[in-house]
Amino acid sequence: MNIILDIKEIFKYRAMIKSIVNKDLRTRYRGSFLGFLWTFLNPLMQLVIYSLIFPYLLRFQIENYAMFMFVCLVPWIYFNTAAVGSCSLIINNSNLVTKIYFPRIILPISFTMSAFINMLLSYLIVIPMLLLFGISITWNILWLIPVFLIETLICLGFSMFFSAVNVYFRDVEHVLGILIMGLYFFTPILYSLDIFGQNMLPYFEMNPLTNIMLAIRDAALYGKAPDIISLRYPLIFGIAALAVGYVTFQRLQRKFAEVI
Amino acid sequence: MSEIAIRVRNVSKSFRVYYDKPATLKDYIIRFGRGDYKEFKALSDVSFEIKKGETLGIVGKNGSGKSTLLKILNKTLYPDKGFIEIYGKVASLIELGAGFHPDMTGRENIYNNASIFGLTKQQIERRIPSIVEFSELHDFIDNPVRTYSSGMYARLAFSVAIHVDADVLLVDEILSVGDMNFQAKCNNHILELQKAGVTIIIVTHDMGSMERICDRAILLEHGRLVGQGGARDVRLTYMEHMASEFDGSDICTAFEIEQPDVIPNEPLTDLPAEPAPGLKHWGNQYIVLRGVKMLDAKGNDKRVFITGEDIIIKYNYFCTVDPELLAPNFGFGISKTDGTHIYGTNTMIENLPPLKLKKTGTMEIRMKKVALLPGDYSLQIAVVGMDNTQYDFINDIARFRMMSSSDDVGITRVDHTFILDGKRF
Repeated sequence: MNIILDIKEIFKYRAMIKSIVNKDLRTRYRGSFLGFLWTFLNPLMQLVIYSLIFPYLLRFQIENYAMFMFVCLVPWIYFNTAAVGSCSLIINNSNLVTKIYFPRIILPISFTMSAFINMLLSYLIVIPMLLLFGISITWNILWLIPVFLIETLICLGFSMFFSAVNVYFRDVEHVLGILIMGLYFFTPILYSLDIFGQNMLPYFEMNPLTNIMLAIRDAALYGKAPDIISLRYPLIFGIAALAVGYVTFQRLQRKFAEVI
Repeated sequence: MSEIAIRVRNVSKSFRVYYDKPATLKDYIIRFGRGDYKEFKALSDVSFEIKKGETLGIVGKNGSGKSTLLKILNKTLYPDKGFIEIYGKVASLIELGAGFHPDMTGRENIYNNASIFGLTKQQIERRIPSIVEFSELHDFIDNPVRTYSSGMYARLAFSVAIHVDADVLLVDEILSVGDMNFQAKCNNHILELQKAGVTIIIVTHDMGSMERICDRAILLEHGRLVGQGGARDVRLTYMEHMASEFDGSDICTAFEIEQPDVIPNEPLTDLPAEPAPGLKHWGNQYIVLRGVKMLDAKGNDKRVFITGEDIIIKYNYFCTVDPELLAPNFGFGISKTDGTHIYGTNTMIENLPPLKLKKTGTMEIRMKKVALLPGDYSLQIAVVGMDNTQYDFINDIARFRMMSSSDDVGITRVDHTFILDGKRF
């Protein structure tokens, strides 16, 4: 089986994944005055802006709106980075792709992993913030782990798919940027689903990220176990996205070095 | 020693050369189905095998498909047809230092670079001392790579590439890494790897070193494999190919075309065109030199000569003033195309009697058994006055190439005999 050989080879190159992730995390903010602090400052500043403006825009008052939004904003940034950031991934690494052999799929894998780790690091600031806002944390916060893993399946699939497709059609990057922004407002991050009528819910549930965000909010903000059953759709979607992304990537990667 | 290391079977590869590559979806849709590109066959039906521990040279002209073949062996390109099988790990000295991050230290970059070759962390750690040792970068290894000189950068990259324990090593062109000492060290190391049983593939133009290092060679031409066998045989085939095809057009370009071959009895008011811009050219043009030819003993106009052949330089002169008033001194010089002077003389140095010129005429310089060794050379011709007034002085008027079937090295052959213990050979 080809796929088993592929996975074996990817495993053999694990040191490369590790070193790319390491390099990525360490050089991302190198040269800036605050350096690694930006990992925390970036979502924090977004939080400040949103929590100043949005309470005025929304009809419903939400308790602890800042944290309501923040627990979902960080995982959203992760998804957004993995999908949109991946578009330029192969092109940015053209000096590697055109010159050296290594399993190309290492690139989206390590890119997603470094976005994932970046999210975890950002999430470190969520916990003291929750305490600061007087929200008690329960063991149910551990539910975040499986939820993040399901989100990672989707991110990996998107990353593989769009990094490969964008090599051939550079428009994808721009189209995707807009689509993902649309999806952002279609996902209950800034608002609660309560503001919509029951008849709208099925549409929201078509978006696999909806239930992921609701589960994150349950685990982190409300301190209760998320509705496990509701996560089966995101899980299936994630597995399908990964499969489609993987097959697409492996098919398209053969001509990367020529097309770039 | 008879185990196969690499098997290449019926490999073909073509590229689409787009007249204007569709880069966006819109372009693609608009162009869909239209032939806005042409197929360029870089390799067609190439098959060969390399045994374990063998050193293979790949030779051929520019554009013959050598680099494409190397990239396919390196697995950065996939063949359209056919397949390759490689048994063992491949490391290439093709693109040294690809993936170095300028902001990271030499040591961190060793980790990154070696991990691209598929080494684990432990394996890398074990190799670090010898990589640092080989690169001679002890004091700088913990500095960011952006502070390195290009030589240091290349040394580090080379050191990593040879320490990944490859079974197959791909080498492109002559290694010009660092200073002479380091180059010698690299070459020695490659020879050691060769002895240690590493399979090596070298792409090169340097026939001398190819024959010295390689056991076997293959010759590519227009993407086809046109010869394979012992390194020496392939080299000779290659030289025959080159000599038969070479008409000098690629080394003596523009200005030769700009130099019309003027018929000597043409009226003098209508002088031939000025030499092409860029041609180094001085003088007050009291005498003008035009229409330079290089001929072999049979009078064929050529630009490629075999070492030991007679060469005749022939050109026309035109006097723009009364020839009676001129006391000309004709000279010529030969240099390497890199500017190294090899020979120069003139009629005054050689104490020729005063030369009487006609209004127009020809000058011929016959050179007997030119002993210049293979390489590209440049010709210089001049005519000045005995008082050193420059009439016409033209640098780099023509270029020619020397070829030889023997292996002596240097610029020119020196006639010699070996006598060992009084016995002549």
